[in-house]
Amino acid sequence: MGALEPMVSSLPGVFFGAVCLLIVAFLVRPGARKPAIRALTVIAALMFAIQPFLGLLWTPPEQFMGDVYRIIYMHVPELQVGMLALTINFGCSIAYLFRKSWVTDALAEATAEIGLLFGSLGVLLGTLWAKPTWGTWWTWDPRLVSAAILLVIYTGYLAMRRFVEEPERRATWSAVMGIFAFVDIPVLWFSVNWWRSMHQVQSNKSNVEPSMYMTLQWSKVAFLALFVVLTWYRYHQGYRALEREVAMPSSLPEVAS
Amino acid sequence: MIGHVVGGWGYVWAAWIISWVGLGAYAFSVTRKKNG
Repeated sequence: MGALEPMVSSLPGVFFGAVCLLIVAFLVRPGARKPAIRALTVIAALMFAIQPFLGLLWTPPEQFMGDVYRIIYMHVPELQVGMLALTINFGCSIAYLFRKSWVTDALAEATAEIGLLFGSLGVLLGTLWAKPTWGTWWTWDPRLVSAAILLVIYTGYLAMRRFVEEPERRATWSAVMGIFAFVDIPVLWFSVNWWRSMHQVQSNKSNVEPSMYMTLQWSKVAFLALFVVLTWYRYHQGYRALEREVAMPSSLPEVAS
Repeated sequence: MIGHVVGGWGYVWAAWIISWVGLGAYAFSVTRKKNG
């Protein structure tokens, strides 16, 4: 591949960033969004209705782990969508410090909460997977430790938001904390490559059977759609709460109920 | 082949149920609560 190799290897990162930007643009754009969200809710529901058939029936057992590997179809999408949520939180945190917009503050809160939810479920499912395959619920492996740190940091982030009553101070402190907290995301992602971890490396086309890969991608898209729907609701909920606390400039988007 | 993990389905069902209960409860709370 030669000179093209750095470009090709950076494509997943570029794609990840583009998805983040598209989601943010979709969520914060002024105007009625309910029809689009309803359509996305239907798409997510249909995908989740089919997903158990793919994950539990259609795909074959794994060579060494048997059927227990099927946890992957929930564990991986939950953690990856959780990391995407917290990456959006990072972007909103930077944006808030530059523009002092309540839109970015409300979206940062929504993504932190939902990122923590998805991340917690992902870690919980990881322990369920670890017990039958590693023989223990938990081990102090770099991947597991960085995931645990992530959960603790964002629990602290949300707790801090509850304790600080003055909206501007809360938003500024949250933004600073969101920027520092993000440092753990690349550590979590690359931990299996940087250290000799018990945890397997990321699944991709080259190391997973095609039907398993397709089901995993299907699950990721379903979780992504669910994430956008949940974030839309939580963002508008948080924005309405902010409206009662501070005087909003008229340029900010209308909140559809 | 190293050998299959015995009782794998129990963990799989537990994983699915935990995810659905968690996500469902959150989705219910976030779509029902009107005033933040």
